[in-house]
Amino acid sequence: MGQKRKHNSDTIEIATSLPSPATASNVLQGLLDINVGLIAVEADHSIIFINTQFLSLTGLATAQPGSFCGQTFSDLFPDAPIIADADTAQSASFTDAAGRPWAITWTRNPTGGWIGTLSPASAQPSALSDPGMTDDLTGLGNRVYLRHCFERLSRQPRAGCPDVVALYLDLDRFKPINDTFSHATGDGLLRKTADRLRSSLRQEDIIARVGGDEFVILLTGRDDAASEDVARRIAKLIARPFLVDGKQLTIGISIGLARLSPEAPCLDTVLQQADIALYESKNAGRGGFQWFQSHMQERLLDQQQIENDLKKAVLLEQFELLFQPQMLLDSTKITGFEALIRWHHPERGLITPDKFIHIAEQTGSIVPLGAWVLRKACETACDWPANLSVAVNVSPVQFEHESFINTVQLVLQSTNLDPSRLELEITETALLNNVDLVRARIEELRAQGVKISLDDFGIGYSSLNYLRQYPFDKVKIDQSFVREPLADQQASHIIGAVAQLGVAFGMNVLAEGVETREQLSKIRDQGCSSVQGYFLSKPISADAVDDFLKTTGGDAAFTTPPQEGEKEDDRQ
Amino acid sequence: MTDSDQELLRVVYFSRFDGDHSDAEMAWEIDAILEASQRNNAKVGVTGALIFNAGVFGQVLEGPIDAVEETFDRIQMDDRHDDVTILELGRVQERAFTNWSMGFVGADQMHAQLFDRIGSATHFDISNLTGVEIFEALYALTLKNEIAMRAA
Repeated sequence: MGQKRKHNSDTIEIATSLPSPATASNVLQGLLDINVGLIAVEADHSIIFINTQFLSLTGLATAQPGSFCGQTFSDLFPDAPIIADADTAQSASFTDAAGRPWAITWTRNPTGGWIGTLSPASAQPSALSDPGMTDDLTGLGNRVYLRHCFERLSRQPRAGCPDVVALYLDLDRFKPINDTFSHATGDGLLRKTADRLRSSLRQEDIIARVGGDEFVILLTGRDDAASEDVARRIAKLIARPFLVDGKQLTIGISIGLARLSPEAPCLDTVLQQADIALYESKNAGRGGFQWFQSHMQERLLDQQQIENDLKKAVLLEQFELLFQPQMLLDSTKITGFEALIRWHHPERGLITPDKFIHIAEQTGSIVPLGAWVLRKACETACDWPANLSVAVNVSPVQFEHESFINTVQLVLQSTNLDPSRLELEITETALLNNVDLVRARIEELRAQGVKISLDDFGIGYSSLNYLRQYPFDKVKIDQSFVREPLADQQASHIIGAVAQLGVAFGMNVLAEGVETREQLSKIRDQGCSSVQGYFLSKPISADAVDDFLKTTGGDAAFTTPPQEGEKEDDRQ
Repeated sequence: MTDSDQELLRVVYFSRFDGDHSDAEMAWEIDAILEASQRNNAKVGVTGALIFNAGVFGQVLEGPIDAVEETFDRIQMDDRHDDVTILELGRVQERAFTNWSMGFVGADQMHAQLFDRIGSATHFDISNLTGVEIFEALYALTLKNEIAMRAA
């Protein structure tokens, strides 16, 4: 037993000295595996037995139990007090290598030495025995348990508020798994997630499942860095593959952290802050964590204010449409304009769509707002020469709404615009969910003569398959591909490939964000058929369209794109 | 255990050691894994094989679905493993490994000597393994990875 590293089989040999070797070996095996931290030392304090639970709680699970035999207890935990010889039972406290405090109760072993049982040093919340506090699915606590534990923590005597960090956790991509597989699979995944979460925590930490795929953890006695370590470890463990019902599942987790403070003195506030941080963490890209910061709250309040104002703005028509021309490269003719929305907020001034469209989508305001845009755009286009079309952006939420087809028909009827002059621009996001519905809508609209464009192509998922699967009239290559430095060969290859595919599928390929003559020339070489961007014109008001057309004569030849075969060098 | 009574699941996966480890730490780690594998897995009817070298593990687990999933998840909770990649997962009719075996497959002679005792303790015989297609791939991958690591 004196050697430092030994196999478990050596430990079991102890049993052979007892009356019934087989039974004793079973008992010993049980003690090795039992869910209580146990240790036995000889009179000289050298370890003769230490079980798995003891090692895993004190962070020594890297080694097998047998390997500690022969070392003394203070070899393992230098700050542990020496066991007093006189007492029959005694308690002592010590810290492990990670600085965690523990209490150990030594009981004199009648055959010599002592037997120690391990318990956490801090006052523990009651074990999960009350069914009213237990989450049936995972065996974790529920909201009631969380509150109960928090109140216990608050009652502990201390100066100031308890040293608590709250973690709000939400699984990434859980819903698709629940939808794709059976709910039993989803439940199995939640159970295994709960196990992994629990394994990332100390015994005194508090964990509860508070919603479908939402969990809350309360950490005590940890500084910011230690709390981040926990969050990082959780994110890492949850991102590893799961096996459920013989299938491999992969998810992730996003985490928000907030510390109990005079500004957030109660459970509700600190949870709300952690939840706000979680929201930010999700937005910043999944699978990470964020601490709550006060500006997050301001931003959230700001967003709520915009939500409220948006509803009013639709009613009060605080919006304006601007129009940006599109040009066919071959003929240098203006073919139409894209309608772009601006919000003239009475207090905040001009607000661009990137600041409010996502909010309108979340709250549903996008439906009436989108209908207004469609009507306004079509009314405006009626004043233009009959060969010019108007392109209108349609949000996925709007496109999938049951009223959409009806709205388009009503607008076309009441404005009397030729349906072939209306182009609806949808983004890839619209194609991702509800494939059958979206496809049917596209076909129905096209049957009425309306044109459909795929907008912002190249960012996001950008499957080339979309071009084959859906009958688009036009594909618009995102401006980030055009604005990239001209030297970026990769962007250039992508544009070229998309242009070729577009031509092959009979689509018009438009490059967005063209700002310079060089970009225009490049785009042309790559086989794009149309362009849009500041090189032609910035978005202009409805009133300015007339002037723009007069100046250019509807022919943007003033931009003098290079002729076929002409090289950039020749023009300089 | 009568395997014919229940469906068997086999998972083959590959993982890396997190961070730098001394040979002594490696030896501890491998002892711990072997000990835990033999103790826990025999109880629940999970068998398989584990091959390792100085930086990576390749492991096969076979057994009843629930038991394999539980064993797999216990290993996932071990913070020291990284980059866990499942190479194969599926139901099988019979086991390729009826016991536990474990072997060092690194190219490094010093490590080979250090870890050889484990191979002999578990009757690890590489020639038994190479017949199994899945394991061949795992074996090649483990070896290749060590060579790449040493080159780096």
